[in-house]
Amino acid sequence: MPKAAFSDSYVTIWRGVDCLTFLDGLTSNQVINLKKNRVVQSALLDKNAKIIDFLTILNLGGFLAIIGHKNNFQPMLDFVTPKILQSDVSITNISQLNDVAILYDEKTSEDIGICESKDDVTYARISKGFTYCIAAKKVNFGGEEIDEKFHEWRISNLMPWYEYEINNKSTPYSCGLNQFVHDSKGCYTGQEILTRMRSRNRGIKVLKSIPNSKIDIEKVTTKGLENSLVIVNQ
Amino acid sequence: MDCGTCETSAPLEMHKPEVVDVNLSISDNAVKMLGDAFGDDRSMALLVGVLSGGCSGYMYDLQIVETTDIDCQEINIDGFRVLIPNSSSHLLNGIQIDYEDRLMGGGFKIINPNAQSSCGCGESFS
Repeated sequence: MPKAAFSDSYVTIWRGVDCLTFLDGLTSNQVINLKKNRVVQSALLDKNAKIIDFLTILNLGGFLAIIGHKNNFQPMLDFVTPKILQSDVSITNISQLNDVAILYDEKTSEDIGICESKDDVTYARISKGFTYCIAAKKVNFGGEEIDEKFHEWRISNLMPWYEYEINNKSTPYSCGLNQFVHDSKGCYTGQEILTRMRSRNRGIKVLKSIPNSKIDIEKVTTKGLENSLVIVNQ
Repeated sequence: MDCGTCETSAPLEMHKPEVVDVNLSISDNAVKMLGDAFGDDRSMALLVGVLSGGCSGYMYDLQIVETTDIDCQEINIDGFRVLIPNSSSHLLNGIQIDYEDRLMGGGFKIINPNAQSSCGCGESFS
């Protein structure tokens, strides 16, 4: 199965009894019930519901491992750390110690939403065709950088990606992350805006893969060889 | 995965705001309601804290407690003990605690000069 190194990622370890509650209060998906060896993805939003970072959160028992995009690392910290106050949450950046890679286009029947460690590599199965892998640098698990093949796979699977669709000008509803907005979990930063968008059915968009011959090039978010990703009104 | 449990990576230095000596006031309505809640027992205290979360990033947290493990400063107003966690003192300096007597949306309210915005229910601010 194809593998790509995600070297534009960061990996942090979150420790403390309040981690899940804390993240649940700041991100768009339900995190609070994340069980050991499960993984969930959730968007960290500012008060205007714009994306600060899109997080992949692994519950590894005594701690959480969180993957995000390295360009969003400092904004994430700037947003999160002032809010820790008296909560029992501490964050360690372990990006220098680990490689993150992506396995995609798998044909597997294994359960999704689980994470497990095998041979010094931690696997987080996000969907049927997409798995994050975190491995210590000494394991040398990396592989080739993300390339055209990965983006072609994304286009055919309607998967938004950092700095293409997912950026700090987008809300989850305007970049194809609709499924990562929990509509009844309660308050979190940006929630009022998203609820209003949903109730008025305004600003909610979807990703579509459209043949290059039929699209306005200015609307393309990821250009492919034959098809491209565009964000269109629902 | 190398999770950095050894000395290879220390936790990131967290934002630690300066602790300020909090001034706060309590409206007459709130004093009356606190009187009803506490009765003659002045061993209890009103803990006014801030938690992360809510629509605007921070949420008020009001509790009646006897003691707390949280590092707090204690203020005595009209005979009531009010506890403010030092970790959120910078967010609570200058607040007024009010009480609105309404069937819907009533209860204790915090009027906070430090809040740039707050959500519709008034429990969350930024």
